[in-house]
Amino acid sequence: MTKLSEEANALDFRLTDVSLRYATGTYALAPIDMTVARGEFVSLLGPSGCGKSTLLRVMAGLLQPSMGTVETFRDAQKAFVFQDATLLPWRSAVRNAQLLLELEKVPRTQWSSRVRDALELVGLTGFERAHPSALSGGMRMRLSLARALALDPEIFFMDEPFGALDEITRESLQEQFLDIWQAKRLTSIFVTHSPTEAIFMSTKIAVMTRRPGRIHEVFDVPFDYPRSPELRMTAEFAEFGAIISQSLRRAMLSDMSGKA
Amino acid sequence: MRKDSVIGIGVPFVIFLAFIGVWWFVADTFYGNAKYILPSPLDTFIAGRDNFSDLVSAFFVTLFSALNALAFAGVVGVCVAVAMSQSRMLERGLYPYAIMLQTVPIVSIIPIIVLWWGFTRTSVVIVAFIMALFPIINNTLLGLKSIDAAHEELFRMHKAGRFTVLTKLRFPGAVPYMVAGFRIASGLSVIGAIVGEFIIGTGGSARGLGVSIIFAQAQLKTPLLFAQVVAATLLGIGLFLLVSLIGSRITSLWETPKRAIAEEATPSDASTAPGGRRDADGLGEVRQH
Repeated sequence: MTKLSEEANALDFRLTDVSLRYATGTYALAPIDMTVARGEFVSLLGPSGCGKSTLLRVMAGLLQPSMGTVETFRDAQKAFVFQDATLLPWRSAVRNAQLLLELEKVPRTQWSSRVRDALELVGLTGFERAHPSALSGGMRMRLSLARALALDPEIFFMDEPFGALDEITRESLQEQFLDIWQAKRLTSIFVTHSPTEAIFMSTKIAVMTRRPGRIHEVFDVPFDYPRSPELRMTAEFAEFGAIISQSLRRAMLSDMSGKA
Repeated sequence: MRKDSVIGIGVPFVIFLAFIGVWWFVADTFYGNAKYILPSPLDTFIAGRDNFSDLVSAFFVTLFSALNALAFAGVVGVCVAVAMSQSRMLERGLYPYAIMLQTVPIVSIIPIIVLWWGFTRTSVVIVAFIMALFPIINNTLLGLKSIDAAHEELFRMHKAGRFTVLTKLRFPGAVPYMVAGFRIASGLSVIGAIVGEFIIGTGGSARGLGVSIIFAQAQLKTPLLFAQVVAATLLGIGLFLLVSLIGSRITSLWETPKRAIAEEATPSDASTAPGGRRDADGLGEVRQH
C-alpha cells in the first residue's frame, strides 16, 4: 500500500483499460494502459486519424472514456494547446494572452505581470498591441503558447501544435518550447505524426496503431537534455529515427491484419 | 490612380454620365412638349433647386423616421437574437415568426398598424422597424451561432459558463455579422419609412419624402417628382454609407492599430529570441529600449 502511494506520487496519469466507443458503435480507442510520470514529456505518435487526439482529450478530461479509468494524482493546473492557434481575432496579443486568466478567475492584480512574463517567454515582447491578423503563423502559435503559459500550468496538453507551420518555424518552436519545458518542469503530453518531432522533444514516445487506436510500443528516448538543434543531424538521432519509423510501420500493418 | 479605383469609381461614373446623356436626349427629343411625362435632367435640377428647402426638410423628416426605426430594430433585433441563441426552444419557436416579418407584404399590415397607432409618425416608424428587423435578427443569430468548435472547447475546458461564453466569445464574434445586418437593414428602413409615409400620410405637421411624392404626383409636378426620387435615392445611399462607416469603425477594433504595427512590429536587425536562438519566423525579433 505504501509502495503504491509512493509510486502514485510520482505519477501524473495512470490509464487502465481505457477505451472509447462512439454512439455509432465504432471504437476510437481500443483498451489502453499507460502511465505518465510527473515531469515527463510523452509524445503520442501515430498516423492521422489513429485516435491520438482522442486519447489526449480523454487524458485532459475533455472526453469521457466509455470504459476503463483515467487516474490523476494531483489537482494540477492544466493547459491545452490546439493545432490551430485558436486566438480571438478581436483581442490584441495581451488580451488574448490574458483570456484564460479571466476564465479561471485568477485575481485581476496578477494579470499584467503574468501576461508580460508569458509573452516574454515566447519572445513576443513588443507585440502586445498586435492583433492576430497582424501576426505570422509562427507568432500566432507562440501567442497561443503564451496564453497557456500565463496560467502557470503544471500539465501541458498539445495537439499537433506545430503541425500547420513550415519546417523552419516548426523546428524553432520545438526548441523554444523545449527550453520552456525544462525551465518549468512541466508534464507534457504531445500529439504528433512526425517521428523527428517526437524524438527531438520527448522523454518517452508511445507509438499508436491506426483506429481503433492502441499503444503499439513505448520507447524511452535516449538523449539527454538540453538538446541542441544539432542533435537532429547526428547519426544516433537518425538511427533512433529508423527504429521509431519501423515501429510505426509495424503498428500500421498489425492493424491491417485485422487484430483489434 | 490604381487600376482598381479606375474600375471602382471611373466606370460607374462613365455609366452615370451615359445614363444622364440618354435621358436628356430622349426627354428633349420626344417629350420636349410633355415635361409632365418625362422631364429632362435640367428640368429635374431646376425643380429641385426651386423646392430645395421643402426637399431638404422632407429628406430629414424621412431620415429621422428611418434612423428611429433602425435604432429600435437594432436593440430589439440583437436582444431577440441573443435570447434565441441561448435557448433552442426560443429559437425554434420564434424563427418562423421572424421569417414572417420578411414574407408578409408590408402594405397589407399597414392598415392594422394605422388602426392601432393612427395616422401618426409612430406608425411610419413601426412600418420601417418591421422592415429593418429581420436582417438584424437573422445576421446576429447567425453570428452568435457560428463559433469555432476549438474556441468552444477551450472555453469549456476552462470552466466558462454560458454567460461568459456569450459575452467573451459569441457576442464579440457576432459583431461583424451584426454590422452586415445593419447595412442591409439601413436600406430597408428607408424603404419602409417612405412606403409608410405613402400610405399613412403626413403623420402630423412635417412632410416626409413619401408624402411629398404623393402630393407632387397628384399635382402632376413631374419634374419635382423626379427630384424627390433623386432625394430618396440619396437618402438610401447616404444612410447605407453612414451605417457602413460606423460599422467599419467598429470592426476595425478587430485589427491592430496601424501605428502600433509601424512602431512595434518592424522587423529589426539580427537580435535574438529568448533562448539565444535566432528566431526562425523572421518577424519575431524585437528590440526593447
